[in-house]
Amino acid sequence: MTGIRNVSTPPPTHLLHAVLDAAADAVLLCDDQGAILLANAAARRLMPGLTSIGELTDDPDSFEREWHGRPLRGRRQPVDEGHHVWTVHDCTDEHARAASLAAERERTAFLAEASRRLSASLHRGRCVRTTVELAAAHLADAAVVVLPPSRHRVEWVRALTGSRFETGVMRERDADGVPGLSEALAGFPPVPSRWLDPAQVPGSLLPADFGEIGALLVTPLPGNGVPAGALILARRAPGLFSEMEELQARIFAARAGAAISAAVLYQEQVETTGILQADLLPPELPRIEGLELAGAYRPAKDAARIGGDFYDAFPRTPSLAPGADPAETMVVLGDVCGKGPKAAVLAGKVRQTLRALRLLEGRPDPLLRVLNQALIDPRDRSRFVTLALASMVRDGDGWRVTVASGGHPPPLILRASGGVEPVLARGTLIGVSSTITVETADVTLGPGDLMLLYSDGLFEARGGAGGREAYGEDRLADSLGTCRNMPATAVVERLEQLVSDWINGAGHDDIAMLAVRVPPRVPDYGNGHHHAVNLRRAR
Amino acid sequence: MIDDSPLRIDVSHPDPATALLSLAGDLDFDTAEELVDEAERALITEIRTLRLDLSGLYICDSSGLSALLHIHHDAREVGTDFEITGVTAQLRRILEVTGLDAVLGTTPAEAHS
Repeated sequence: MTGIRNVSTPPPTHLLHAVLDAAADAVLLCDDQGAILLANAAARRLMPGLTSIGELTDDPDSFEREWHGRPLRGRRQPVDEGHHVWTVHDCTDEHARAASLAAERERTAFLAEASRRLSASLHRGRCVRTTVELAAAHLADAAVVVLPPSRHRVEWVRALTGSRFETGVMRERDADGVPGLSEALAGFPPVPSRWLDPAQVPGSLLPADFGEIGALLVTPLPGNGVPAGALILARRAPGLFSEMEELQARIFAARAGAAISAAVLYQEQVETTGILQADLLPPELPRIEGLELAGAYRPAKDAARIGGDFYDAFPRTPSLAPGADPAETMVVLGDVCGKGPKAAVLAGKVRQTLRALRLLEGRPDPLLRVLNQALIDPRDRSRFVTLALASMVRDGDGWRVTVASGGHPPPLILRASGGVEPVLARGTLIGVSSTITVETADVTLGPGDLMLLYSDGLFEARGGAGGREAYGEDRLADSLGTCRNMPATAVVERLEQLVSDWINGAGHDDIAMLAVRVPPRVPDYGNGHHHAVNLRRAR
Repeated sequence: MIDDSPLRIDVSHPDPATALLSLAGDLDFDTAEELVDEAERALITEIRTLRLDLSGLYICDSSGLSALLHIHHDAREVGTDFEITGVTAQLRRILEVTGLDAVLGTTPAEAHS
């Protein structure tokens, strides 16, 4: 095959013109003064009426400029002494491609930024505010999020470009006046923007000084099955949202809807957990004649992970068993395995069961065995509770106490003399095995003696110099030894403080304590009242 | 591979009829599920004994004890022996207090040595 070579005899002129006219770029033949001698079809189309290249450029070599709304790029090539050729390229398409690429990048960047900011919070209100602020900054002059109606009212949150968000409530009737809104809130596919008449929008939707709405877009915020609300975008400039803008708004709305509904779910979960946890919160301790009671409960830091520590105190009550002795004063402190709602449910079950059972059987040993049978769940042999319970009978100015432990750390007694001793009650944890051992212990509490029931979170608390050492039973006993002659309330506060210093802000399991003290013969500065100290402190 | 879980479980077979799960780190609310899953994987194989070596455990909370109970129960269901070794002094104290030593049938040498 031979390559292209110049023909020795030039083709006829009309063919040469045809060749030139076939070129996509403009071709101009000019003399040394710049006068145009010949222009091909593209040149006549791009630069009609042009007679001299000087009208386009003074530059001898090349130019880039707008000409009648078109971006042109030209280059000069000399031909001979008196002539040169200018080729001129129309850059309209390239510029449009670059602009659309830049716009696409900007849209992607916006959506990425939106996703990042929307997923930064699990707070519904914050997600909604972020939604309107982002939309007002990037998509329109004003953005309004309307939340699903409840009791014929709708809450709205709106923002104008460059100003802070505002919130309010409107009647559902008024909201229905916004074109496309009721459809969006009902979860119907969005009505195309061009069908929405901005003039129909009720005045209350946007601030009075916003002015005329030129263009309107209403899009649902998709949620889990039910919409999380709707997003309304308004622009002052008349005209329509372009197809691309509409698509972007919908993608943004989908992400915002997902973030808002995730926040709603989380909130519902927290509320549910809260309801369950109410059964675990320290109860109001009853007043019991001749005893000081003080409880402390410090839940693990993680709010979503309620733990399973609980305590209760029951005053002496008539028994429900015919002819039986009254149900004696009883205190109990327990710990359910695990955390979260499951633990809360089990703890609630334990407390309710105990509350009822003690009216039929007040002796700790059989009571624990019955409780164990009641709690065994053949479907789940891994859920258990450990607890220490004490049945107390007044005896002169002291109390006779029978302590039973269902797999729980032994209660400690701080004697009025300052000595600390464990109560040697032992037993198997409750709710797992149908055969359990229970070894009760009988102790006497005299005036000034204090018995402490506590959960293992207390001595398992890790901290110290290395931050990983357990507080430990010995340290707990030593700490209790420093509380001689203190009222029950002061003792639990002091122990809590000591453990808190030990942990030094680190995470910990639940910590629960219940101190029972026989008032001393000589009145001290304790008033003998009973307090439940909630140790949830702001840190 | 970087393992960022606070519990490491190494599975080995000292002999063909035994699966040994060696634990290191924290057996607690966040990791108990992992151990139960790993034990269940071992229990569906043809082993006669499932042994847990707890000597590397740093923390074992109530969820950890619950996991041990769970595995103990699962092993009994499929007729596999379940053994616990390497019980540290701290863990032994917890097993004693809760009475779990008797429930799990940890060998007398382990429970009272």
